[in-house]
Amino acid sequence: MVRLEAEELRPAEELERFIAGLGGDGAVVSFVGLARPTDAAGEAVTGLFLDAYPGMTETSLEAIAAGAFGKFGISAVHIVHRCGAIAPGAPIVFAAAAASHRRAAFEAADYLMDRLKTDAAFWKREERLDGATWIEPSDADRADRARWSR
Amino acid sequence: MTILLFGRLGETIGRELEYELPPGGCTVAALRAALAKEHEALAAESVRACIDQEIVPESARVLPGQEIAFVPPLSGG
Repeated sequence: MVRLEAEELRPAEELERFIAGLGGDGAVVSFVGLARPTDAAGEAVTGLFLDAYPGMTETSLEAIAAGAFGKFGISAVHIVHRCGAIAPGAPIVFAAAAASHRRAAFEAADYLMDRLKTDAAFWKREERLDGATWIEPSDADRADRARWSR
Repeated sequence: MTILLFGRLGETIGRELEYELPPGGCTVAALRAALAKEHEALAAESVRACIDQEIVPESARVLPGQEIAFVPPLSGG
């Protein structure tokens, strides 16, 4: 259901495997997040480093997946999140949800990503030519997360 | 005991710190104060302690055999 991936993330393979494991669902929604080539100020990012706490990070991903099960009428969830060094443009996260009908799958995928952006146990360092910065969730990320608490 | 550090703490201080825990253990607050003498970054309020991979309050008791970590605020994914 969830996996922390230290090597390359291949979204097409993840989607194929996820679909192959389903039984009788009518809808799958998947999302792929890519490492952006620029930071919030528009400066070029030369790489990302995602530090994970082995065990705790997987538990946080499982809690997010469980949250989606509790909130939407879905039958399956698949989350794969990268850790370690990630090149600009490379896939960083794959999140998918399956349900009998599309609405629940769309909403669950949206929810998974909003929670992953704030609640996943990662520490992210953006590397630029002039140095590196450890970053925290933005106000926009927090506002997106808060949509699901109302 | 080995204390694990993550994110910017792991980068600036090192991934692991060694600390001689009193035989009866101590509170997170006492452990933090002892470690912060040498590593000031650990004194920051935003830095949280984890016992066996769960974020705990300052009053929590650290005992031998537990997995202890200090973590900066989460970045999210």
